[in-house]
Amino acid sequence: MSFGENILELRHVSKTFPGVVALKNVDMMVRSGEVHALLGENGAGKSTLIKILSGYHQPDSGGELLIDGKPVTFKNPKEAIEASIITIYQELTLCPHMTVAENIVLDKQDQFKGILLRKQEFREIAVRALKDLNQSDIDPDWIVKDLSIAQQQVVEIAKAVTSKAKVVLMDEPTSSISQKDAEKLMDIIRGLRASGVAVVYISHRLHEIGCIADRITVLRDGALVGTVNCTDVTDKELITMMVGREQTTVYPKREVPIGDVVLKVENLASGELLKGISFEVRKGEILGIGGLVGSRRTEMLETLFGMREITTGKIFLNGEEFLPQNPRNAIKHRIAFVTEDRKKSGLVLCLPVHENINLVNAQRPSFMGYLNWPKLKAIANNQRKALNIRVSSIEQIVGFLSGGNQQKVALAKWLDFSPELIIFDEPTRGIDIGAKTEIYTIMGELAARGAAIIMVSSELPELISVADKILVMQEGRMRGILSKEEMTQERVMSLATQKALE
Amino acid sequence: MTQAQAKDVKTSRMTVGKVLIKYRTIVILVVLMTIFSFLKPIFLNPINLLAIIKNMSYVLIAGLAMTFIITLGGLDLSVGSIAAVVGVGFALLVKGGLLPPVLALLIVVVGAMLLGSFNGLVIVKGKIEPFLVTLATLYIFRGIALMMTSGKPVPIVIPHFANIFGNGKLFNLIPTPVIISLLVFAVSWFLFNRTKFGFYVRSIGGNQEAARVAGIDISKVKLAAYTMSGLFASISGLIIAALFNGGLPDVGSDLALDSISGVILGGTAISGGAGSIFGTLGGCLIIAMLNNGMSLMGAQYHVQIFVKGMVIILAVLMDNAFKSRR
Repeated sequence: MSFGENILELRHVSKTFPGVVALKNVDMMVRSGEVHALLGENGAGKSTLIKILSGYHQPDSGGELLIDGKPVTFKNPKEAIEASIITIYQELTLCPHMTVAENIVLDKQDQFKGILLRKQEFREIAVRALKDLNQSDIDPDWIVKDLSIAQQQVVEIAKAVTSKAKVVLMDEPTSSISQKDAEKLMDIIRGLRASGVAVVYISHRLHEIGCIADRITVLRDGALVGTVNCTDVTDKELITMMVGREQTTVYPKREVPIGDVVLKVENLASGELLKGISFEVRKGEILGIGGLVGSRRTEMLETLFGMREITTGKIFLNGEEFLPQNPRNAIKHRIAFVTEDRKKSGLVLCLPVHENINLVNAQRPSFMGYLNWPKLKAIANNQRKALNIRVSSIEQIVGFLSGGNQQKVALAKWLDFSPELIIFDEPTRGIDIGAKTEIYTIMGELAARGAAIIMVSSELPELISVADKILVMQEGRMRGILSKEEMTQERVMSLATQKALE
Repeated sequence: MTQAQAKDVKTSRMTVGKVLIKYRTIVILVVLMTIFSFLKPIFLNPINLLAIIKNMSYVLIAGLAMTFIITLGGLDLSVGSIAAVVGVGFALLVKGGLLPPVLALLIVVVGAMLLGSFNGLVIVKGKIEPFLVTLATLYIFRGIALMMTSGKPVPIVIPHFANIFGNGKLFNLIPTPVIISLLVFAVSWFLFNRTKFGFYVRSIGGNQEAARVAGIDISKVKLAAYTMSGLFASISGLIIAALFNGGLPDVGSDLALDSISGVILGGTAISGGAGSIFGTLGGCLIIAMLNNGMSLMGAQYHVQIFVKGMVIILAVLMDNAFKSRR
């Protein structure tokens, strides 16, 4: 493949925040018509780099940003957009109550003359953009909030394409969409590349980068490790570049004796959402739950945790029938739930680390509701050490921590009451490989201490290497349970897409 | 290089600004005190200072409950109406020796808690925005106060009442409303910072979903907070009644907005999650000093509320500047 000119160049770019050096003297070149992956653990400086490119931050003096060989400075995000650098953030920035077409033309109002809205023109632009992306099944008149995350992402990309983007920055675009949608996205990215657009792509999924990227720039601790051609490196070498150490297995396996049945679910149903779910999970066992996005795995977990009504079916906890009414009730029965969306339901972002860790502990009975903060802080400190949560102090506000550390805090709040059943929903989403490994180790330790574990994961390699057995769901129905010997990526996928194939 | 130097100067100036903004409640207080004492030296007279905190007392008490409510992500516009119901109710219950004062006091305080819990129940069970619910009860409770007396004031003639809640002085120096408000302040600080209740309030305001998943009974905490707001409004109402020596059905119309202003000036986020009891004390002091200082200077009410509004805008702008620089 031949590449175009250097369209975007960074020279000696550093960025210092009070007390933290986020980027140290980074050089990087992006050519037109290439997919350039940006790789690194959380806290490696990828986000800072993206924010500099998109005009949110300004580099420290001495650093330079060049577009088509000419130095530029972006004082704000608008100037970056005017320079045809378009960013697609992890948290999408669409107006939920407006139509697809309105969202696509929102940033282009300067093009239209007069004060009246030209709905017909809006539609035409949107139809053309979606057609160019091969996404004509999205109707420009649909309201954005009714779309799936993957479809919303397509709208964001359509918005970028119609802005005549030269560089498209994508911050973990596949972190919240299913594998099938991710493949669609890859096709769209290849289309962008063919039309001469440079795509800068951040992802934690190595295999994804392997099949899409032309070149890869690796950052570690804010410094450049190197830029390599994708064809010249193996996954293992990339991991070594990222973490700075040789890593034999990404997902450590564990051997733990399997004990008595902790949770037994019989023919569980919740309205029309879930039907016919039956399984059991034992002490020391990790039950993986696979399926595509929309297979209602999260809804199933929420039903176990008392957040959704059970219409039929039975749940037995340690042999006794148990009807979870609400999270409070589930917690009383020593069930813990590490939710999928840390920011939405796992953490109180504006509170410090120790208060987040004690969100559950603080509910223990005490005289007149008095909280013994020194004691609670000691508990938090123990958890911090046990889980290796990297903070300068437990007084730090959780919102400012990296994804991996946030996830550990979200998990830590459950551990002091020794839960018998721990439910993990996408426990390693959006966290770096080092932190992932630590989460697997912690899960292994919890299992070794006799906890039963249920884990939903969309990453098949993770599911297969961590789980003792895998339950596959599709559209709220159970499609099968695979034992350790039976599980392969292909079998899980074929069960998960069964109906679609029929 | 000159550019870099210019940038350095700018950065260091920013950090000074940052400190000023972080402690902006104190900064505004000091600035106001300096201006007023310079223009009117009598402002710093201990008697005047005591008058300031006496006039602040009932706003502070309502504001302390409001700090919990706003930190929780809620709002209570009905506290002024509750205060009026309490004053009128007490006056009617003790009129002509109908009930012993202590019993009457108990009844109106419990009644105010019921009104507060009514707010809470409608918000929790009806799943309606607190703004809408308490806007409605602002009218409903005011209507109750007016209906109870056909709109006329009812004098309170029992001995000691005005002394205990209004114009009495401890050690012949400190006005009793000051003592009461400081007690309520201490209790509020303890509740907010040292008990589960305060912790739950902060967690729910910061992220309701996370609190729910952590097993916190959100409905119960909200109900408790609005009941507490009713209780504190009743104390404010008793102080107001004692200062007027009667139950007036139309008092307290500014109480909700003044206490909300005090809470916001104190740095509590209107979006919930982050609140400060000491901040509310500072915020209410700012409002009380403004009122007092400008009165000393002979400014009319019209001018006073104009300036009050400007100070609130200024404080909120400073908040935003602080947030964006972090």
